[in-house]
Amino acid sequence: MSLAAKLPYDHAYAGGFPGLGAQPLPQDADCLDYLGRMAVADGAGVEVSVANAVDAFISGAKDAGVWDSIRASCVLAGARTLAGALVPLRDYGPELWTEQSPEIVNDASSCGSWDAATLTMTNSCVGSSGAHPLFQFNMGLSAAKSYTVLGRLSGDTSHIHSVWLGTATQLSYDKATGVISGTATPSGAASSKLLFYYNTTAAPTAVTIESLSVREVIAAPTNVANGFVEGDYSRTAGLTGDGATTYLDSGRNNNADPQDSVHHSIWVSAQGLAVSVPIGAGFNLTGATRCAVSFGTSVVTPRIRESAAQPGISDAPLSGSFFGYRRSAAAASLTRINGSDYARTTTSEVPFDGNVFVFADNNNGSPTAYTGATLAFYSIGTSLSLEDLDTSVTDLMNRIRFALVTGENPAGLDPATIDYVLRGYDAGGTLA
Amino acid sequence: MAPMNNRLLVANQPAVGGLLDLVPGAAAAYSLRSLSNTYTDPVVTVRRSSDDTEDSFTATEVSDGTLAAFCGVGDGFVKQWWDQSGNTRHAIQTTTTYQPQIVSGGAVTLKDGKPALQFDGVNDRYKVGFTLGAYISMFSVVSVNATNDFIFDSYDTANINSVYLASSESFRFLMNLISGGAMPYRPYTLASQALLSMIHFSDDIRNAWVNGSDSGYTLAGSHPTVAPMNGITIGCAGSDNLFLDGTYQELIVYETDQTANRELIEGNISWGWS
Repeated sequence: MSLAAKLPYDHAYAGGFPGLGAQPLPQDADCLDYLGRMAVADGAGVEVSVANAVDAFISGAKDAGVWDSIRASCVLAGARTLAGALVPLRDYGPELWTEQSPEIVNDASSCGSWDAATLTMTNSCVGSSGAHPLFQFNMGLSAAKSYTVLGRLSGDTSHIHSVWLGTATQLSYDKATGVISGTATPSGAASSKLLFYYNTTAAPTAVTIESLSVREVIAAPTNVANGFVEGDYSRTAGLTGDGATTYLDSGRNNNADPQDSVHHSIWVSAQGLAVSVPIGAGFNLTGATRCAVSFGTSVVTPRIRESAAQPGISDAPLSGSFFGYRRSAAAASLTRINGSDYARTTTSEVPFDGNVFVFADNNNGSPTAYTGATLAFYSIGTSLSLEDLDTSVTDLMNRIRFALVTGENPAGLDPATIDYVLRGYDAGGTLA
Repeated sequence: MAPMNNRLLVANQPAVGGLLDLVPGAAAAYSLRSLSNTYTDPVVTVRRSSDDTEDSFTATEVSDGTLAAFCGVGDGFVKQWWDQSGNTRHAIQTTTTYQPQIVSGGAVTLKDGKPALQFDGVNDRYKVGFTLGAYISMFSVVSVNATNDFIFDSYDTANINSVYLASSESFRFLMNLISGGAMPYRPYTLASQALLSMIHFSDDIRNAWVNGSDSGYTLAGSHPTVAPMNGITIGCAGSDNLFLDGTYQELIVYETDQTANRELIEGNISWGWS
C-alpha cells in the first residue's frame, strides 16, 4: 500500500521523487480534461491510482472503438464527492468538421467557388446581394443538439457576412479577426449544415478556413430536486437510488441519437429489489428506449426504440455486472446481460422526444419505475459494441475498486491480476 | 592532454537528500526512517518485555532484524522516540504501560510493509514540553482504527492545534481552538496509512491536507486569542484522553510556515514511505 499512489494526480510529486521512486500518471488528453473538471467539482484531484484507472478506461475505450459512441455518461464512482461523480465523462462529442466541399448557392450575380486544396471560398463577381454566395457545409447536425463552433478565417474576412447553424441560428463572427465562436442549437432550414454567407459588394475576394472545430455539446446530468445526497454515494460502489424519488435527468434527449443507432448502458454494483427501469425514456410511448428490469424474478423486458414490450428475457444483471442495450439497425436490437447477448429483430419507431433518465424512466416528462439499485456508471450514445463496452467498464470498475481498496496504483497491472487481488480482499485478505 | 586509457569516468552522484536536508529547521522530528543523510543516532530506544532491558536502534537496525533479534520471541516497547531535528526534544515515555509497541511476538510491527509504532488506544502517548507558539506546520504518517481518536495535539491544552478522526472517513483539524469543518469529501479509509499535513500561521494561512489533497478545511466560529502550544502531545488529546488506536511512523513539526515547501515535504514523505 503506497502513500505515493494516494497523492492527488495533480500533486507536484505525484509522478515521483528524485531518488525515491516514480509511477505512471494519466496521459490521455480526454482523461486529463475529465479529471480536471472533476477536481473542480470535488475540490481536489483524485488519487493517482484512481486517475490511472480512468486513464486506462478512456484509452482502452478508444482502442476498442467505443469512445466516440459514448456521449452522455458519468462514472458514478471514484470521484471524491457526489458532485465529482456527476461530472460528465465528456462534455463534447467527437470532432465533426472534416475537410469537404460545400454546396454553393449563388444569387444576385454572385460567383462563388471553392478550392479544396486550400479550403478557400472565393467570389469573383460583384453582385447585389449582401449575403451570397452561400457556402453550405453538410455536417450532419441535429436540431435536437447544441454545438460549439470555434474557428478562424483569413483573407478578406470582412466579406463573410455571417455564419449560421441552419438558416435561423447565427453564430458569433468577428469580421475584423475572422474568429468564429459560439455554442448554439441549429434551427430553421438546412439545420444539418454550417452556413457561410458571403458578401458580394466587392470582387474578387477570398476567405480561407484556417481552422474549424464543430463539436456536439454534451449536457451535464441534473440531480433532480437534489434528491441524491452525499450519503447515497460511495466511491467504490457508486450511487444508490431510493426506489421512490431520486433520479438523474441525463440532460440528453432520447432523440439526440439516431433512431437506428443508440445505446444505453449501466454498471450495477448492487441490485434493486423491485421491477424498475435503471435507465431509459419513453415508458410505453412510441419510440421508448428503456428496459424494465425485475431483479427479483430475473426478467428484463426491452423496449429499444419501440412502444411495445418485447418478450421478456429470463435474466437480470447481477450485482457487480454490466448491463446494456443497443439498436444498430431498423430491425436489429441487442441486450447484454451478465455477459450474454440477446438479439431481437423488431422494427424501430421514431424516438420518443424527452430526456433519458437514470435511476428511473421518463414517462412523458414524469419519472416512473424508480430503481433502488446502486449504479456506478451509465452511458448514452450511438450504437456500439456492447461486448467491448462491457470489457472497458468492467475493467474500469475493478481498477477503481482496486485503487481505493488496496491503496495501490493499478497502472500496468493486467485485469486478471486486479480481479484476483480484489477477490482476495473480498475474502478478507490483504496485500500486506 | 593526457590519454584517458579508456577509463570510464563516472561523476559522483549527489546523495538523495533526506527530508531535513531538503527542508531544514524542524522544531521536532520523529520517524522510523532517517530524516537526514547526516543523522547517525538511533531513532528509537526500545524496552523488551522479557527482562525490561533497553537498547537503542538506528533506522537500519529497526528494519534489518537487529531490533527483532533484541526482543527475541517477546515484545518491544518504545521508551524514547528520538528527535532528529537536532533540538533534543525526544519523545520519552517512562511509564512502561504508556509506551507504544514496536515488536510483537518477535516481529517488528509493520504498517503497509514498513516499521510502525503501535498505539493501544488505552493510554499510550508521548508528551514533549518545549517553547512552542500557536503557529506550526505539521506533517505526520499515521493510521487510525477508531473514531474520536486524537493523533496530535498541543502539550497541555486541547485543540490549540490538533487533529483527530472525526468519522470513519474523515479527519478533523482544529487550529487555535476553532473547529475545522468536517471534510466535504472522503479522504480516509479506516485503518489505512495516511499522510496528514497541517499549516496554521494566521487566519488566512490555515489549512490541512490528507494524502496531499486539500481537506476542504473551513473556518467555523470566531477566532479567540492565540494561545501557545507549549509543546506537543503524540497519540492522545492534550487533556490526556481520547487515545489513539493506530500507528505512527513519522511526525515532523516546524515553527515556520512551510506553505512553499508543502508539496516537497509531502512528496518526500509519500515516496519515502512507499
